[in-house]
Amino acid sequence: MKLLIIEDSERLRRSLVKGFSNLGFAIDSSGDGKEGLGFGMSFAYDAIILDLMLPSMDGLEVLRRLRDARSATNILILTAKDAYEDRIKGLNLGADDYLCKPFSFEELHARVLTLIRRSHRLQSNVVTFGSVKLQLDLKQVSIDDERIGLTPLEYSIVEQLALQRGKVVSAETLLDRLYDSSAQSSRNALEAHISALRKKLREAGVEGLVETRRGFGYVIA
Amino acid sequence: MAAVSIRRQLLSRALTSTIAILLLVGLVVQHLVGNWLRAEFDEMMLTKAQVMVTLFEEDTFGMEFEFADEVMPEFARDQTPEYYQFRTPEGENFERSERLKGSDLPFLPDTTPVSQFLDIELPDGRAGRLLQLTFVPQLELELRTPAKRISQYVMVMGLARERASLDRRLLVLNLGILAVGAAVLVSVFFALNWVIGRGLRPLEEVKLGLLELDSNDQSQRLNVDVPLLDLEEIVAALNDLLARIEESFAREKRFSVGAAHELRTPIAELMSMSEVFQRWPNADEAPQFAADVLASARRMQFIVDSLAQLARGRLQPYEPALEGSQLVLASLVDAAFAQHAETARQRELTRALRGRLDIQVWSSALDVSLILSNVIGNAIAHADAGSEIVVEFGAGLIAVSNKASGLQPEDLPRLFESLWRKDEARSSEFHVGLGLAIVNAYADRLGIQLSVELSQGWFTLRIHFPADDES
Repeated sequence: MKLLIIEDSERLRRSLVKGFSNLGFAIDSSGDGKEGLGFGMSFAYDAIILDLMLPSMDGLEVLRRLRDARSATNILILTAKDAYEDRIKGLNLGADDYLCKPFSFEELHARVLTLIRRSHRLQSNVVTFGSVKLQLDLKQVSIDDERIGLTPLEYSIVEQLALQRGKVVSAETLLDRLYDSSAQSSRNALEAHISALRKKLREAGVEGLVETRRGFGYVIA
Repeated sequence: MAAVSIRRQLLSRALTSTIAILLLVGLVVQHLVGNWLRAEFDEMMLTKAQVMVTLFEEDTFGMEFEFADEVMPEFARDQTPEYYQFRTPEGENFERSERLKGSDLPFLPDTTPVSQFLDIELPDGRAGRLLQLTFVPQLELELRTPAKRISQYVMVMGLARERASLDRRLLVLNLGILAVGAAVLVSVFFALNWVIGRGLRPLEEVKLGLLELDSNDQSQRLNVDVPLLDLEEIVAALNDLLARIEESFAREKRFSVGAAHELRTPIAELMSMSEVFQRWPNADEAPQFAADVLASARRMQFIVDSLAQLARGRLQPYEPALEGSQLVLASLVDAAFAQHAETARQRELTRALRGRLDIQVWSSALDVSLILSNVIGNAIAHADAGSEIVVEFGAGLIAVSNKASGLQPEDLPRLFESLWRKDEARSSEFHVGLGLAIVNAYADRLGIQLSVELSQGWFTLRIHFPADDES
């Protein structure tokens, strides 16, 4: 999953990037309103964490422009503005959630997951298909309740495909969602990671979970 | 002093004034009417005496007084008689009424005035009034020659009568004045009480209107329909005050919200950094973590210090005698530049001090230093990099100018607002938007006037010290 964090406090932004990266998210971040809007317009994200008091462009304006551009990305406003009117204004402009500073990182993580889950119409953080169980909050894949050791990238591949189960996800989309926008990545590297993933799944007794559709992409059927 | 109600005070003052007026009017009436009654009484006595004088005639045999008791029985009656006596100026008795029984009326020794009145005690012990009349008796026709006229006799007449009727009238007059005065006073009391009560009713309505105002709702206004110009002005003044209180509340609310907002971000930083580091501890990242925690704590300390400085500037009154001293402004400006020298060096800024560098003012060294530190610090932080900061000194005036490309004319009214920052300053570690608010608060405290100007890309902040403090 990929997040965009637009927050002008460098220390807070850094800690959020570190925390969510450790949780297996691909992260883009910005401390500037206009730059953040540029990221939001240019790349696809599972969720955007948006501060309101930003240099160059106010967070609410960033939100308005994203929604005007028909962006359906989940947007969580993370701000020190706790007034009732500010919350109403933010939610009415199209924010999906509103969290006031100071906050617990755990709560922020939970809210981000809730937003992502809601957009994929999931009832809980657990996605199952056959004997395979994917735990979104714990970033774990288990087969017959036996946890298998996946790297964060391998887990993210399973997660992306599982969340769009039945749909073919192109290699470009996968690359876009798995890496932050500045990272150097290639289809060959992706194929290598998928190959390693398939091997681990096969060793755990699951064959053919991730299928390749030549010329189109990958799918969990 | 004990508070007295308006109603009571008005009533008391109106009654005091009424009593004074009644007293004055009563005394004047008593004096005029009393004198008139006395004059009437005396006039009657004089008329009677003049009639009696016509009964006196000088003939060839001497003086003759042709008087008959039947015509004037008041001199002969037993009860309350009147008295008369004729005598020469030398005191030799000529004729007296029978009821005097040989005694004399108390004549005055000076017989020069034609008529004189005096209060006496009558021979029967009653209070009476005496008319002493000096006259020349009429001559018999045959004797009326010029020579005789020169040598005519002069006689003195005394006419006395009781004065009880006069005293009774005077008593009735005095009692009448007192009764009318008391009646007027009582009537005035009730009338005033009613009129003042009615007159103060709109004020009561204003009071009730004020009591009905909800202290938690600053948007409320006094709505009293009083068609009285004075009260309309009072109601308008009260509503104006309420509007200012509302604005003040709103400003303080904005300030509190802003202050809380400024503190929330460093707290969020500390919480987030700590949680993440605790969950994914990494020895390699520990130094960075410690540095970040320290920076967040310093940021919070800076915000709290700034808020405390602002509160002190707003709340503590300035006492020139205790805090004031003679200040050389150029030295303080120098010290302010020294405080921000490192930032000025990093931004490659230069400075120029111009004008009267020896100018001095009488003010608080601590507060003026704080003002100048913030003003110079502000100029150094926001001047275009590589530019020059110009400080000009005049009589009781310092003007600090710097190139400020990012500043717009519409920003000027907001410069002294608490927690207001331009975008460029928003992410700055040590700019909370309180610097110029602190300058404004301390300038107010010291009676210093501030003015700002933006002209051709140059921003100028002028500090005008009070004229009396110049030296």
